[in-house]
Amino acid sequence: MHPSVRLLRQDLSSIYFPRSSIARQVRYNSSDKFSERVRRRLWGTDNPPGLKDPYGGQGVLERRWSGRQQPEEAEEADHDVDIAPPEDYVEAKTWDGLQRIGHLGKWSDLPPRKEDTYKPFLPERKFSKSSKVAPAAHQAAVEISMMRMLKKPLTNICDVTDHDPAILEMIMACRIQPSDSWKSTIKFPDQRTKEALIYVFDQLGPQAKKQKAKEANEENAEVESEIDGKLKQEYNTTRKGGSQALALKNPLIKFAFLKRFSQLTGQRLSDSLISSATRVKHLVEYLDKKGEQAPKKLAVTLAESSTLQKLPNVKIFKERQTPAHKDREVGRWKLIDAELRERGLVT
Amino acid sequence: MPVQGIRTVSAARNGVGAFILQCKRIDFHYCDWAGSSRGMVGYLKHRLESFAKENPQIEIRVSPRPQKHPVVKGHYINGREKAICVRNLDLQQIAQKVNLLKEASGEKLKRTKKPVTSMNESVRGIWSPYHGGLKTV
Repeated sequence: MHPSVRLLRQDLSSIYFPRSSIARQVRYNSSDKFSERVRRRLWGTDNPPGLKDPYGGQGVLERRWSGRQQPEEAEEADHDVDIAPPEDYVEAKTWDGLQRIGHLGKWSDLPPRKEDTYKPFLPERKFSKSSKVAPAAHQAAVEISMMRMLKKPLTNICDVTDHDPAILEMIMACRIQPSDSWKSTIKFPDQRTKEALIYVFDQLGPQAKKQKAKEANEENAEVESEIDGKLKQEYNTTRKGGSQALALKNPLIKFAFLKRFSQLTGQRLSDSLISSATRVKHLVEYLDKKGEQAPKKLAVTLAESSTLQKLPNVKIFKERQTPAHKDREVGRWKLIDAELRERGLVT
Repeated sequence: MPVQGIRTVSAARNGVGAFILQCKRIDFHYCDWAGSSRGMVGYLKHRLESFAKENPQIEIRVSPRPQKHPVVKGHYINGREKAICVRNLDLQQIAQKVNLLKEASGEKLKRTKKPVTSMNESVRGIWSPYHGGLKTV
């Protein structure tokens, strides 16, 4: 048979509907009519024994499918019922405060905890001017000396980001006597300052070590009380920039000092500088130089040139020139602005 | 009365009577941070002053263009612009480029095919098939 003729002979339903459904329909019809008649004739009674459907009813897949479809239909029926919103319902304009739907298993999905907040070690502010770097070096030197005197871990001082102004004033009032070993380097202005600073620095670190420190303080206090009279004399004799002459030979002291100094100034110190610096003044000088070497903008340099300023045909801009600048120059910007305001796009 | 065309009294020939420089403005753009602007920064510091003095009829504008390569842009009286990127060029090379922009007419570059070019009409006139030696077929 020619393929085209075969197509004509086919029923339209066989083209548009799946063959399995038609076969099933035919089978059911035949079982009700033709096969039933045959069975009656064969048995010779109107109620022949055996199943009405010789194929055993619905197949496994059909039974499963019908089982699945029933709840879906029930759900659809539920959806059809209109759910009236409650009277106090207010439609949300933004997503703030709404329940979040989605995966909440990841760390990023969970609300931030206390441990998740990041606090940088270095502060955001950076000191590079000598007027602030030198006091920071002095403060670090006094603090490290105090920690060393109290026999506490030197880097514990980094837990304190900011001192009370009164304490800071006391620290700055202290003088440093340069020595390579960092022993008895601090010269206090008076006994009261010394006691106050010892009390403050004693609060740092674990409790177990506090006891030892207190004992050490008591011993020190006894010794110091004897030489209290000499204290002011020594204080006056030590020169002002004594902290800068301190040596950084001991690696533990060097590390603690660099850590604290870096924290106070907000400056990162390079490895080469750390390895090459043998005294505190090297660090201070480096940061001073770094502050001075901050590149100057060319526009500022050119604007300062007196000869260029005198020339009428030269115009120097400090900022990037955008098309908006051109619009303003030509006078087009007024029209654009007026039109935008008229349309309510700019308020 | 037949319509008469307006007779040209004089033709604009720049340089015959007077010379008008075609370049009216030069913009210098640079970046303070990028290394490709090193030559440009040097030029602006050391050569711009003398160039501005030598060419008072050219307006000079200097403005930064951060995170971009340096550019010299010439504006001409015919309304056209010419921009030259001068990234990584040294001071001398930038001076040459600026001079090139200064001397340019602002027109698009054209390929010269004939050995002689002139704005004057040909003495022989335009060829016509109805004049001269007519051929009879």
